[in-house]
Amino acid sequence: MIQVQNVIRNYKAGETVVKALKGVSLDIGDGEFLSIAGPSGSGKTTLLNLIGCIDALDGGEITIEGQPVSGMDKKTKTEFRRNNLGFIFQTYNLIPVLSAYENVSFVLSILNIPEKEIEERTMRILKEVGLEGMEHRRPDRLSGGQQQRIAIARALVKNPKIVLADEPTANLDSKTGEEILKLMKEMNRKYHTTFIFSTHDSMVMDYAARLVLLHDGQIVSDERR
Amino acid sequence: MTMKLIHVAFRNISRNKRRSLLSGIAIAVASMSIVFLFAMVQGMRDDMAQNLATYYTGEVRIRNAQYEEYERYNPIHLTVDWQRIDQALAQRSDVTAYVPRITFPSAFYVNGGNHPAVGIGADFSLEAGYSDFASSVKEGRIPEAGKNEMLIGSVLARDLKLDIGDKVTIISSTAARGNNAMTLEIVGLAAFPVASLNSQFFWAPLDRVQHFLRMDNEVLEVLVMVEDDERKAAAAIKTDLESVLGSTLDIQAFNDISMMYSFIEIAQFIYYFIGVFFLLLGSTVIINTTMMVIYERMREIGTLAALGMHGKELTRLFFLEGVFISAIGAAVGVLIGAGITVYLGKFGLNFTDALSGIDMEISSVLYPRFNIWTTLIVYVYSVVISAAATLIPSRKASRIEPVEALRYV
Ligand SMILES: Nc1ncnc2c1ncn2[C@@H]1O[C@H](COP(=O)(O)OP(=O)(O)O)[C@@H](O)[C@H]1O
Ligand SMILES: [Mg+2]
Repeated sequence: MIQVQNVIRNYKAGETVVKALKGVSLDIGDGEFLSIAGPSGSGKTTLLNLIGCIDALDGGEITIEGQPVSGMDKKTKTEFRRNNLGFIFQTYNLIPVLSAYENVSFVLSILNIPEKEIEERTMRILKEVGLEGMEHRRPDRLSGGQQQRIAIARALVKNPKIVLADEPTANLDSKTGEEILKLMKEMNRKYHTTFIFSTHDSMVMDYAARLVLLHDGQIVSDERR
Repeated sequence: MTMKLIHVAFRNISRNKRRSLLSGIAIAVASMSIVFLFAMVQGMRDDMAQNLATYYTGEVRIRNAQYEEYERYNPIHLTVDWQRIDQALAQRSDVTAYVPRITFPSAFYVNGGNHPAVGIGADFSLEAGYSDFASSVKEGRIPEAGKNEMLIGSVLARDLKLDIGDKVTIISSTAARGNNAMTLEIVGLAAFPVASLNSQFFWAPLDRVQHFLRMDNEVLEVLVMVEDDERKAAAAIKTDLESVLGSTLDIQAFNDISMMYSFIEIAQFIYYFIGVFFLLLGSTVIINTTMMVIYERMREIGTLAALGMHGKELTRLFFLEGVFISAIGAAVGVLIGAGITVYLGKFGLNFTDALSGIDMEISSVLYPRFNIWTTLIVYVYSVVISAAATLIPSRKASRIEPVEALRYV
């Protein structure tokens, strides 16, 4: 369902050009639980951003559900993200003035879903990520792990085909990180949502059903387990 | 969606409390000043209209048609026929009151020297029905018809060390182009709202002044109060009187006569622009604040964009926040401004020192004039302008690339 074909991404930093991705190709099927691993600076974030339609390609093509990304303009990309993609960030990136409930339901409001359905779906997903009873707390009154759970709920509430998570556990202690991964895996199984997450942590890699190793902007290994 | 945006925007106000407060205060100060300023100019205008009508020109002034042409030669012989004008005006339903006056330059012969003073011959029984003349008498009483008495401006009296009971000889040229002198006893001290009236003028009975200036039953001018629009009334009176007296009269509305009043009218117009300028100045703060807030919430903008929010919606989010701050700030400002206006409208603002020596038909104590409609308009203007100002930085939010915003620290 996602075809990454010979993707190139260069950054201009003053005079020099940084080749962040040097021709990356990758096929990702429905419902995969895939980790993009590699040291810092290897191009993980760049690749996720390109698949996530928030960055522009310099070469190659990415096709999602048969739709080539390179031809999309800014508005189409936004629309596409809105309907098909969920995001989880290393720093959670919740809206601080909104409660757990509101952070999640906001995504459905953007989609103009009826209020009653919004409430049902939001409450259900919050329960599933284990935040029952904390719906009305604001992020600053929740732990990092709990905040990341809101983020997972926020990513999943609209039933996206793909969830992209850039180093989702990097800001958490290893125990909490493991819990988050278990939760992601559970959701992956339950909803058959494709999860693509990046990491440089070997513990996290162990959870992946497929591990793609990046090094210096190139794939050095791709194994299923 | 819009509801949700409003909701988030409203909560965002409290995120940078101090900065929101600063923006709000800037807008509040601007709209407060405007409300007060407008009320002040309106108060000044009303005051001047009142003074002109009461003391100087009436709402409509009737003079000899040639008077203006020779005004600088003191053409005391260019009079009007009081009796016939009186008869004609008495018939008119649009005329509420009128008085004859003779304003003439003279000199006081006091302490072995001459001191300039302006005399006004007035019929005090008619003046009583024309304005609240008696309230200007600070000490003593109003002169009586047929007697050689005068009411003198209290400052003029103080300057010349004169008091009630003193007799003053006045010298003036007459309608027959000769010179004449007459001695009047001071029977009252006057305190008028206008400074120059107190420092330069004295009032004497009309019949004595007519005799002194060798005018029979003539007067120099007739001051008229009218029902509605002064210009229309002036035109109507003119047609009416010309059918009786021919075109020997100059009849004009006060707002066409007084240069100073026209200036105030123009000033009032200019103040609208000054008001807009004030608001723009106040708006620079909210522009600045919004700009800072956008940079501060860069990562959030990236997140919202990644979640599928369009640029336009992001712009609206920051714009709405600005609208709320403007609406609250302007409301506070307008309320305080209205409060100050109402308070000072009661107790007045004393400009005696500032206005001393300035020859203007403006009272020394001014009362700002509160007007609910002006205040509401100022409010709407304040919100519209400062909200429009926030649109400038808010539009930046839509141009931000989500990748860059997410990387921003
Ligand atoms: N905006 C940018 N401008 C210049 N260089 C960049 C930019 N973003 C990333 N890079 C460079 O591209 C390479 C890959 O970065 P990134 O995808 O962030 O790696 P990772 O997420 O694996 O740490 C790095 O060398 C990084 O310095
Ligand atoms: Mg990275």
